[in-house]
Amino acid sequence: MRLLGDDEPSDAALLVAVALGDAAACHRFVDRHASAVLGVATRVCRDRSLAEDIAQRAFEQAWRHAASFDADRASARTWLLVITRRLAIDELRRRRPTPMAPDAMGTLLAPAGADTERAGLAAAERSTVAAALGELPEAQRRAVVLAALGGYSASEVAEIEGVPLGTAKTRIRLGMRRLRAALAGEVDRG
Amino acid sequence: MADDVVPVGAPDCDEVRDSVELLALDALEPAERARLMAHVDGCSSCRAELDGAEASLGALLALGPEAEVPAGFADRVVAATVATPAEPGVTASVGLAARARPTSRRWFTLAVAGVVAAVLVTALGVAMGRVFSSDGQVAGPPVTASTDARSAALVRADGASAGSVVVDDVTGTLFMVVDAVVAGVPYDCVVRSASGELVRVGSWTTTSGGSATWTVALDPALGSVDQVLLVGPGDTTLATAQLT
Repeated sequence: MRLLGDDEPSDAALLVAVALGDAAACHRFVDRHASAVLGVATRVCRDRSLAEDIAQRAFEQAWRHAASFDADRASARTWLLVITRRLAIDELRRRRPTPMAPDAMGTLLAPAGADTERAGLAAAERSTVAAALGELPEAQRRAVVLAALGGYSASEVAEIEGVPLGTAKTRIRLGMRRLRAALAGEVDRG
Repeated sequence: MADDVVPVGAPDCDEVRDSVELLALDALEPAERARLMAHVDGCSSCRAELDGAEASLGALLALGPEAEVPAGFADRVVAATVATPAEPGVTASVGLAARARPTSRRWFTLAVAGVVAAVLVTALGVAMGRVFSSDGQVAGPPVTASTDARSAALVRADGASAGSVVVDDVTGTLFMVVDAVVAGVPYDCVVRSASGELVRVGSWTTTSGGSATWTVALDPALGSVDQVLLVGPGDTTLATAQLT
């Protein structure tokens, strides 16, 4: 038996302590995930100051909902990043009445590298997602990246890509299904 | 159905599943999203589909580059969050990107107090008829307890309360009330026996977060239990109750 703080606890252990209101656990949870959370917020908002505000709100929401986290559904990091994206998109859509030119498209998804080794995802899972993304047809990959990482709606993707709304939806849907299937295959093999 | 055409009326499971990736990415217009989510909120299988799509999104998000964390960021977040009441009163699991749902801390405190009071009433000799099971539901055989109940707050290392513990020495029953548990995570109850030995007497994993009440039938061989520990993943001691 050991006290929280004796060594590096798992995300689940930290969230359990966060749910009970442990400030030290909250601090360690933030330390562990802040760079990834800020990365998602910055990528969607493209505004460093706003991204820091979004990141702070994401952790606050995670804190309030810690007891609602379900370890059977997703990793703590996945849960937190989805919350962050949700908040960033809400803020972006509130501030951005019309679609922006996707000039940051080329940098929306940097190759997974050494920095992501600290991520909560297993290396195999990261490489599976990256490989599956790279194997998508170009139109699907662009649609998925714009919608998932850029936070664009299907209507905005359609406008950016110059295609009908239905086509944009189909590209997003098929691309995400392929990614999901690739991840499911990884789990099955694991 | 053409994707450009937004249908009206209540959607069925097929329509929701056809758009579940777009729902997960929040890529639909608000009205269409609201129409589909009205179905998801009442359909567990479509909720599971949406959770799966959101998990894939999370994996995709984790691929992206991380950002430099400014100095003092964690301190600022913690300072803000500790000033924000947690929401331990949620008893049903929610989606990955659960929206904030205001909950009265006072309501929760009273609810926990009510549970503890019910346990204490039982321990004071009123036949409650049922006991709380390990998943927080009421179930099981009738229990008639005695006046020999001891109770104590379950206290975290920083001195704050995490719940309560009641031990009925006559029936050999331990009741543990925890303010906020996380679904899918294993918790253990460990007691210090009369001989000073730490003994694991119960393990639970709940299917929903929020408050939980667990019961343990104590082995008489343990003797008088004077300390109860709530232990989380990795044998981490989360809180301790000192019984007198």
